[in-house]
Amino acid sequence: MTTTASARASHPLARSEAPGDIEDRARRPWRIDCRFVFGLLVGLAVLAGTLIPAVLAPASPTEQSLVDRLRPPAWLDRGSGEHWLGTDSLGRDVLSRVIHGARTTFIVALASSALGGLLGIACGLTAGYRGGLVDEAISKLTDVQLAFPYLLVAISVMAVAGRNLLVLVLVLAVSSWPTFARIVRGETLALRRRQFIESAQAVGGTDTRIVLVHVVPSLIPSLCVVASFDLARIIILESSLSFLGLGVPPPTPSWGLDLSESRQFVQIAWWTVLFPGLAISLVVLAANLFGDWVRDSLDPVLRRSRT
Amino acid sequence: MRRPLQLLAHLLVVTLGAVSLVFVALRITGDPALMIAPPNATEDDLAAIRRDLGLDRPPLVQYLDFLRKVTRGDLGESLRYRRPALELISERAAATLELAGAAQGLALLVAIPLGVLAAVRRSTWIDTLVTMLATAGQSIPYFWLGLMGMVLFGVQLGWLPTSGRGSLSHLILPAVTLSSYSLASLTRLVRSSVVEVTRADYVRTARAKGLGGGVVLFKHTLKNALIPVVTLLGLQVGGLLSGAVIVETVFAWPGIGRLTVEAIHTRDYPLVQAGVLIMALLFVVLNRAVDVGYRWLDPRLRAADA
Repeated sequence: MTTTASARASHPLARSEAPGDIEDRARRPWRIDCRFVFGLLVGLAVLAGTLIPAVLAPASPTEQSLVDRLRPPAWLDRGSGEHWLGTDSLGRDVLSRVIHGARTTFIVALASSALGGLLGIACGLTAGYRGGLVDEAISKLTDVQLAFPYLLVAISVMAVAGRNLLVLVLVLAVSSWPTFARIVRGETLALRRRQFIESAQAVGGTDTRIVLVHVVPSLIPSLCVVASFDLARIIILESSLSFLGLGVPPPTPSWGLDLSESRQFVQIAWWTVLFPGLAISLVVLAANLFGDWVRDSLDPVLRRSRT
Repeated sequence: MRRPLQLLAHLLVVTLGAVSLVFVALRITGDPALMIAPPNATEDDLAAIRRDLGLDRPPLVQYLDFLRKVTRGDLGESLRYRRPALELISERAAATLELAGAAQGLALLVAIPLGVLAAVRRSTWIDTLVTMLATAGQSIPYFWLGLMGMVLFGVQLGWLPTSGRGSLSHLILPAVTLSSYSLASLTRLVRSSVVEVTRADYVRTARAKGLGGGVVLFKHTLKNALIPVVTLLGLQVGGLLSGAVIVETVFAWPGIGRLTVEAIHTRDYPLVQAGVLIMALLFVVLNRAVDVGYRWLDPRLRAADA
């Protein structure tokens, strides 16, 4: 299965731009375009929702009001100016829940991706730097996990463990290590043969020191790319699990959970489903676009430094 | 003769891996007895359930017993339906395959022309639009796209049924929803692949000897550009099955995915185990099938095997 073509199809560092685009870009690598601006704006909005949700939100995300249940957004007939985006089946303000949901999504995604990233980086460094049997074992494991429908594993584990934030973070973290490991291994393998690493070895640097001081800093640009795509993937996985009722435990405001709870009302109250889902899609889109942008910006630079 | 045997060995190893993974995932993470028992069960009730299911034996004995039963096709009996789990699942397999097949077929039908169009009109507004739509398609979660499709085409416009299986019109919304991610990634791949092949020496030669644009595009460019597409199809099998679980839940599509999710909520533990296992097997078989097809399509790989 590991032909060059398949490696390219699945490789997170494979360019989204075709070779012809690169020639324009090589002249001005870090050109700011709409992908960057969009990523930045959405990123700032999520950050604001994470840090100061109470300041931004017009109402409490958990306060219920059965009189006001399933009220449509302000611009529709029965809508009220108090609830711009309407209310859900328990009369909670949809806009406030979307704003407060940012924190859960962001923290869960960031914690899982960081944990999985560290694990993947450690495995990738070991595999790439040591080589041999360890490398063989780690590479096989990453291949198998990357191909397997991971949602099934996540579903089984969450079903038995129950809704639990810690287990959720662990399950998501395990989903993200192989991508990191694969990229880090490849880059480490290439770096190991470079002269500055050989010189460090020649003057007697220990392996740990060489890896931490010389290898890891060179990996940072690629890691930025992998991390943005990984964040996007984890947000989708987390919200899918929450949607199936197997993710974030209630009553924590979470976009996936809100969608799952409002699903049965979708026929009469579409706004309870539209806005949390829109928030998920926008954040994932922003992370994907930002990743694309960093990768395309990086690529000519990377290629120049390799040759 | 070497390849079929190798294939079979691979199939066995991966299947054993999947079976073991399911076993470990379901035993290590919690107590199935707690999952099955009613909330007010006493410690004695729990002990009785454990004894019934053989959970009081050492894990290794349980594992070997589980493997022995799986090889005989015995995946246990559903607690809710009181019928063999395997029987319940095989009844639903056709629905899942129908949905996944329709989705992937649709993705291919749309993605190839769209990707070629974007590549041929590279750096024009068509290219920008197609690339943007594809990135959006990769970013929208299935369940949201499905629910929104349901609201728009099912509720507001009333054109399509919103749940169940039956006529062709029942298939449209679920299949379109499930195709979104594959369609988007395929489009992006076809585009970049076609652009890359257009710069190959043999395409320049074909042009130089005076062949028309259409012939060069279809006979020289597209044929070679589609090779990575077949590879991606193989890699998408896993995502497609995962997606089917979600899409089936949204549209009440009577497939394996929905059955498994229902089993989770009703704490029907043997059925969950069987559902996950069969999905894993389905994945292994489909993935291998694509791999074989790939070797058949690309003579260079066949030569490498010999």
